[in-house]
Amino acid sequence: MGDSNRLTLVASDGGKFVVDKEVVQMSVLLKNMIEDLGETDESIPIPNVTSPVLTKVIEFCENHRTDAARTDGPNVDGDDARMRTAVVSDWDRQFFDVDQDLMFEIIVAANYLDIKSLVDVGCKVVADMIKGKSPQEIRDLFDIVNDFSPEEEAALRKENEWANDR
Amino acid sequence: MQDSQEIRTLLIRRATLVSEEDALSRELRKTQRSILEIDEFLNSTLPINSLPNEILVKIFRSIQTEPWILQGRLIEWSWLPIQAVCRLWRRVICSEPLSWRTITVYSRHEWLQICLERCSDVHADVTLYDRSLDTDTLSVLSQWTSAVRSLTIMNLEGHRKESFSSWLTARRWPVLKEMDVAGLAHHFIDALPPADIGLTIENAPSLRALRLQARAFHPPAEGSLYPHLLTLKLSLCEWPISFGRLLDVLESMTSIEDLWLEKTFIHTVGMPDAQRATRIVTLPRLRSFTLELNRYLPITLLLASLNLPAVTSVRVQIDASEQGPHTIADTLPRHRSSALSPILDAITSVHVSADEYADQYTFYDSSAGWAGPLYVSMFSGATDRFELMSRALADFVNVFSHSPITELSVSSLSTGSVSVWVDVFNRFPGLEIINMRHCESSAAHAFWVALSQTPSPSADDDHCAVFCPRLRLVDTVASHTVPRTEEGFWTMPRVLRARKERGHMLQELRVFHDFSDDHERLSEYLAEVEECVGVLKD
Repeated sequence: MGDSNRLTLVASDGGKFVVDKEVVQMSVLLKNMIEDLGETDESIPIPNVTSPVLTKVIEFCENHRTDAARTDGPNVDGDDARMRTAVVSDWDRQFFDVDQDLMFEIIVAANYLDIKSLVDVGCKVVADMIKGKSPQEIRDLFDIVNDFSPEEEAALRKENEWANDR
Repeated sequence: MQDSQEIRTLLIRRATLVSEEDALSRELRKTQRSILEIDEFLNSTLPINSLPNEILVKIFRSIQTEPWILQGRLIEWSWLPIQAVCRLWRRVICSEPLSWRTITVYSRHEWLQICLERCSDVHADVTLYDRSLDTDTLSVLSQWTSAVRSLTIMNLEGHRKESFSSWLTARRWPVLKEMDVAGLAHHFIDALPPADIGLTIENAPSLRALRLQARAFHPPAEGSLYPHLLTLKLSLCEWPISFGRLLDVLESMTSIEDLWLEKTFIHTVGMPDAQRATRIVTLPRLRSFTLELNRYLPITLLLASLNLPAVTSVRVQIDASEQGPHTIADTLPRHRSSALSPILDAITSVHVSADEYADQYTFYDSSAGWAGPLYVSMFSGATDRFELMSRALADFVNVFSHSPITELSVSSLSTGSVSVWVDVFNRFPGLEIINMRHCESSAAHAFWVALSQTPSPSADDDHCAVFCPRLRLVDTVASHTVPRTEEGFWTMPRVLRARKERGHMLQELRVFHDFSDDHERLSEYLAEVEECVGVLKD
C-alpha cells in the first residue's frame, strides 16, 4: 500500500508523476475522479497531456496549492467577474514566459483538467499580449495571415465606421 | 467599306478579349479564394487557434473589460480590432452574443442593427446619443423592444422630447429594467415645458430603475410604475407635482431602495405653509436616500414627513438660500426626523470638515468615511469664512445633540472659537477620542484653552471636575507656538497635568509637529507632556 496522500499521474507519452492529492485536487476533473475511485493505488492516465505540459501544470498547482478559493466551489459571479478579479502575479508571468506552443498547450491542458485559476491566468496573460495592438500587430505576434477577402475587409471597415461615427 | 470591315473585326476581337478577361477574373477570384482558404486553414493550425473557441472567447472578453488605447485613441469596442485579425476570430466574436450586448450608438443606425442581430437571445443594454435619434434608428429599435434590458438616452435635445416620448410609450418593453434619460446639461433653462416620461406598468412591466437628468423628463403622472421601482434618481429635474401628491407618490413606492433627488424642484402648488408634517409616509425598503442641493424642495418638510426604517445611507447637501435655513440643524425637522433618526441614533463617530475655499462644511461618519451611512453638508453662504469652523462646530452640537458621540475628528483651516469648543465638551461628555490632526495649530490652541476650563456645575450627580472625563486619546497638531506667550506655550501641558491630577489622565497623545527640533524649550515641554500622559506619540 503506497502513501495515501499521494498518487501517480501518467502523461500521454508515458511519463509518470507522483503528486500530492491536495495539489491534484485543484483540477475539478481529477478531484471528481479521485472521489469516484476512492482509496486506490492505481495510476491516473491523462491521455491528452504530454509530460512537458503536465510538468508545468503540476508546477503551477504546487505553487498555488494554498489558493483554495480559486479552485472550486460554485461560480456565483460568472466567468467575467472572476476574470476581472483574477490577479496575475509576477510568478505567474514568469511561469508563462515560455514559447507560444507550450503556453497554449498549458492553457488547453488546464481547460481539459478544469483548473480554473490556471485557465484564468493563462487567458489574462494572452489578453495582455493582445491588448493595445492593431490587427496587423496581433497577426505578426501570432504568425496569423490575413485571410479576409476584399469584400470582407470592406465590411469590417464599414462596421468600424458605423461604430465610431460621432 | 474597308474601314467598317476592320471595325467589325476589331469589335469581335474585343469581345473575345473581354470574354477572356472575364474568364481570367473568375479564375483569379477562384485562385484568390483558394489562397484565402489555404490561409484560413493554415491559421487554424497555429498554436493560438488550437485553443477551444470558449477559451478564445474568454481571452477576448477579458480584453473587453478594460479600456484599450490604440495609436493614442481610446478603443471603446475593443473587439473591433480583434475581429479584424482573421476569419476565425471574427467568427468567434460574432457568434458570442455577450460581446454585443452593450451597444452605444452615436449616429449610425446600422451599428445598432448589427449589434442587436448579433445579440441573438441575450438582452441588450442600449445607449443612444441624441444625434442617432432619427427615424431610422427608432425604426430599428422598434423591432427589438422585447430584447432591450436597459435604455439610456444621452444629451436629448428639447425639441425631440415629445416625439421620443410618443415613440417610447407607444411600444411595449417587456424586459426593460432600467431607463435613463439625460437632457443637455446646459439646456437646464429650456424654453420647452418639462415633459412626462409617460411610462406605465403596461408598457414597461419590468422597469425597476428610472433615472431622469437635466430636465429631460419628469416622472410619470400616472402612478402604476411606482410600486415596482427599486431606484428613482432625479437630477436637475423639474417635476410639476403638488407636495401632497408627491407624498402620495412616495407612499406608493413600497419597493423603493434607492431614492436620489438632486437639484430637483417641484411645483409649489398645494404646498402647505406650515413646516410641520401633516402626515408621515413610510418607505419600508429604502436603504439609500440622497437629497442634494434642492433649493426649491421643502427639505425640512420632506424629512419630517418620511419614515425610513430600513435606511442605511443618507446624503443631504443643503444650499443655503436667502430665505431658507442657514444651518443643517435648522434644515432638519425640529423634533428630529423619522428619516434620519435611525442613523443619528446609532452614530458614534463624526468627522466635521470645514472647507473654507468651497464655503462648505460637512459632517459624516468618520468610522465609515464620506461614503458611509451619513453625509450631511451645507454650502453656508457665510460672510466670514474665518468663522466657518465655529459655525460648523456649533451646528454639529445641535444636529448630533441626541447622538451617542464618542469620537470626533475635525479638519479645518479656520480656528474654532474657545466658546464653541466649550459647548462641544458640555454637550458631548462621553467623548473618548478627539482628532484634530488636520487643523491649523491656532485651532488646536483654541481647543486646549477650552479644555483647560472648568465645567460649570450642573444638576447632574456625576458632574465632573474636567470636561469629557472619558477622553483617552487626542491626536493634534502642536499648539505651543500659538500664541507666543508664556501662558500660551504651557496651555497644553497644564491641561494634561490637571487631568492627570484629577484622575482623568489622557492615555495617549499624538502630536504632529512641524516646528524645528532645536526649539530652545522643546525638550522641557515634551518632558512635561510625557509625564502627564500614558503614551506620547509623534
